[in-house]
Amino acid sequence: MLRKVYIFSALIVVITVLFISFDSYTKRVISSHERILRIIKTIEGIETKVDGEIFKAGLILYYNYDQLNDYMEELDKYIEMLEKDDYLKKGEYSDIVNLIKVYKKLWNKKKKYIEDFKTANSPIKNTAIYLPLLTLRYMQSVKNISDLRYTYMLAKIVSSIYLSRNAMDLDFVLSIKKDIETLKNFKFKDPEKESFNRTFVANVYTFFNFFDSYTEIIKNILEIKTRRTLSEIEDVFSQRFSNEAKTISLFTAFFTTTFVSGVGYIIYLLFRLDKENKNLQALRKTLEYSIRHDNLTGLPNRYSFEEDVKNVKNPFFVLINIDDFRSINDLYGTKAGDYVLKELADLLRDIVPEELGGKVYRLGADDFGILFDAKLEISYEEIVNQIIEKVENHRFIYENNEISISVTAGISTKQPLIETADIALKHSQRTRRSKVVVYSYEIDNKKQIERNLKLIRALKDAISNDRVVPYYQPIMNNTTEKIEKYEALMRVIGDDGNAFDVEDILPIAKESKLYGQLTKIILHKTFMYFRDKDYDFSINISLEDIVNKSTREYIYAVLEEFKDVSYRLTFEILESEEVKDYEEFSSFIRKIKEYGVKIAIDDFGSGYSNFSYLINKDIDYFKIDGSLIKNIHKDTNARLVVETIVSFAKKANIKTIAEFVNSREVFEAVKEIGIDYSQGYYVGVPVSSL
Amino acid sequence: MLIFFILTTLVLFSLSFPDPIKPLPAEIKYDIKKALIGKELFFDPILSKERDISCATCHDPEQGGTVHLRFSPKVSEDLKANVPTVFNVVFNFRQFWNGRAKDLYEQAAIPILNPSEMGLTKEEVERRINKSDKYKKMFKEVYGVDYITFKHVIDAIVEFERALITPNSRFDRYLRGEIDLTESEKEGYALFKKLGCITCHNGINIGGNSFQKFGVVNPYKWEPYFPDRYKITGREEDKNVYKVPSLRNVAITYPYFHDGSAGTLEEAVKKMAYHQLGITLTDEEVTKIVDFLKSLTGEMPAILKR
Repeated sequence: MLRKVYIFSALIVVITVLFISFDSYTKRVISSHERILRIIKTIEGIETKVDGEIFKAGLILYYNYDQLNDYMEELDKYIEMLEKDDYLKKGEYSDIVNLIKVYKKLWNKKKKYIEDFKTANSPIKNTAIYLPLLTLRYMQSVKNISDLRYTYMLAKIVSSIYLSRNAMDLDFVLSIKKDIETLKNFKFKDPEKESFNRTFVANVYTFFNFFDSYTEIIKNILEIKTRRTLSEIEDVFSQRFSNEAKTISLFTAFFTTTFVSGVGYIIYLLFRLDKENKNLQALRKTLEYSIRHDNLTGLPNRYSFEEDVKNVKNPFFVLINIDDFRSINDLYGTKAGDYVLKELADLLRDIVPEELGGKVYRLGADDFGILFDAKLEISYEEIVNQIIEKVENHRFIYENNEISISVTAGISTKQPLIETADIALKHSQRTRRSKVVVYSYEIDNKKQIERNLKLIRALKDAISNDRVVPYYQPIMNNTTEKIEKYEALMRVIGDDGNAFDVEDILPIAKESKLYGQLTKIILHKTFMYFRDKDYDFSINISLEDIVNKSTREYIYAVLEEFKDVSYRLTFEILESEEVKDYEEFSSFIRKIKEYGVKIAIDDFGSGYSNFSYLINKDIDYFKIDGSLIKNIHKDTNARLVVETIVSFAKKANIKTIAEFVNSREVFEAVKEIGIDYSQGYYVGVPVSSL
Repeated sequence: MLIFFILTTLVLFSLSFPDPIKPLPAEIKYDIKKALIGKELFFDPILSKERDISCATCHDPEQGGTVHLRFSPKVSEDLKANVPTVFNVVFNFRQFWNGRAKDLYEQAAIPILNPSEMGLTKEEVERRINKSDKYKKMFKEVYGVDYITFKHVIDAIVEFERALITPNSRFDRYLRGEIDLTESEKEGYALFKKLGCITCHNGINIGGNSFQKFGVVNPYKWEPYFPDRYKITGREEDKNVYKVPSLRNVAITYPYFHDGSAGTLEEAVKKMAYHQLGITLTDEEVTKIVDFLKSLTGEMPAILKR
């Protein structure tokens, strides 16, 4: 292709150079011919004018010779121009040059004739006009015209001279020759008449004298072949030009052919280019369409969706998934599956309200999306519910088989729409509580997981670096107002030295199976700490610890190991926990009781569970929930509840402990009610060591 | 009476053609710088062999561009001629009495190179002019040449001669409708036309545009030294054929004719009437024609005043 371009360019350059030189040659030839022909024509024109002037000079009595002279001078100049013209100096024009020489020679001869004409013309004209004037003068001076014959002869001669001059005919002159002889011989007595007659005769003879040469000169002027020579020059020159014109037209034909074929080729190339362009455009359109559309259903695809989303101000997005679509494929074959997908696509397109600007997409195998640009006043969730209802009521009939489908939808208004809607959808599928779930941060495990993973890492880090430590909060006997025991509270210290919130840690620990480890650590450390101290101490355990065999065995082992200490231990178990395996639980209780371990129900009064009844006889303490205690000095309802609990506990021989005793007023109140122990900031904050 | 009528008609018909005389232009195009060098040369005797005469010796602007002598002071035995005026020569169709120079360039060279007139050679002219600091400077300035050729000299003189026109004569101003002529002058002009003087003395120079025979009706004597066309053509009929002299400034260019044989205008007019028309004019007619001829005297050329 590139080589073609080079060859073509080179050709164009060559032809252009040829054309330019040809053009300048043509211009030179044409302009030279034009110039020379113009000069010849001008000469011809001037000579015509000269002839006209000669005619005028003969006719008009008071003719002014200046104009004639000017024309003759002008003609000389043009002949000189012709002689000096470079174009004619080429050898091939020597015949023309010779003809010009001939013309010049003839013209110079004619000029001489013209001068002679002027010399003859003046007296001829003069006598012709002077004779009548003279006759008139005679008639004026001679009042009485006595001699009629003389007068008649004068008139005859005058009119004959007029005739001969105007007719250029010597015959008239000859006819009056006799009369003038007669006139010459006339004798007058009057000297004045005599003088007049002499003058008249002299003038007539003057006319005769010049008239011969006058007619001769005019004949010469008329017969001289200047004009013929001129037209010969013109003919020969034009002939020569037509020869050159042949060369020019040959070249012109060549260039025209080249030009036309060049233009033709370009037009052909343009046509081809245009056709290819059209094909490419069609291909591009198809490609563009298939990039944006799903092959099977013809719906816009995910790519199209991503594009559209950019232009939507308030997106409201619904992701619809066919429940258990695989079973349709399995049951009826993939063709049926495809049919359902197509049918569903058409259905969705029909039932999604156009006036709300909803657009349907196919986003995955059996995932459909509907995108709205939300307006405030419309309840889209309701619309979605209607859509789902219509879809589920639709009967897909494939080869006489009636297929029904159910769908689940996730809704989202948060970017990235598909991901968030998918989270909502997955949530719905998982929980099975609702067909439609709207995305919110709460259901977004992803965020939770991220946080959890971080916490797990931190927790593991804390465990391996021995940063899981027990803190001890004192518990005071209300009667003696002496500290009798401590509750061990777990603290997980981060690598920055700050403690994590235990409320955050515990669910994670349970999920990640680290919980048991934490229990073990606290258990061991607390035992080690209190084994040589005189205080009772309590440790929190959960039902999970009991259920978990490893933890359970560990507890037993520790109790066994610190047999002498174990009787000072109280296990605090949350009231809200529900016991599932009664057998296991009871055996645990039995076992620890063997070591004298006591049991406290933690957060008592906060909720309800079954296990209080189960282990009624084994309960040693109620730790009354902090929410009931913290305002007890002013909240009468709480006080009433607490009084009931205390009363019941006393009857059941169970000791009570008030949590959240944070002020003197609270302490006074719990003491007054008859609660046995107090725990809280009023008594003492948790400390790492006593 | 019929004949009378016809003749009158013929005369009137002939008279009814437009004016055959054109006024001189008020100004003429010429190169003033060249003309001023020409003026210097024109009055400079450097151009004569013995440094005794200049062009102006014979063509004295004070004497109407000619000299008031019958013949040129420098003549040979075989050629004697009255000096034609240098005024308005640019409008003459040929130069010299017999038109042997086709233009001023030819004319100006002839008296300088003529042994019986100024008698120099081209080489001598160049030698003399190139020796002159004044001319070297002038030519350098205007022509841009370091060496002055004979051609340059002639060119400058011709340029000066071109400037020698005498516009605004009474008659010209009459033709232009600026003034009225006296009755006598007007009648003189009418006679000038009616008698046929105009058939030869016409055009811008009132003459100077054709060759005519002196002595058409009544022959004029012929002398071999006359500067006539016969000197050129050798044709018998060209004896006493001369270039018609211009009648411009005729009142101040006396004496008249090729041989200076007429000392006054009256004499010249009478001789013309006799030789060319074969008539004797009345004194009244002569006076009128002379009055007309006097109205042809124009202003002195502007360049002479510089």
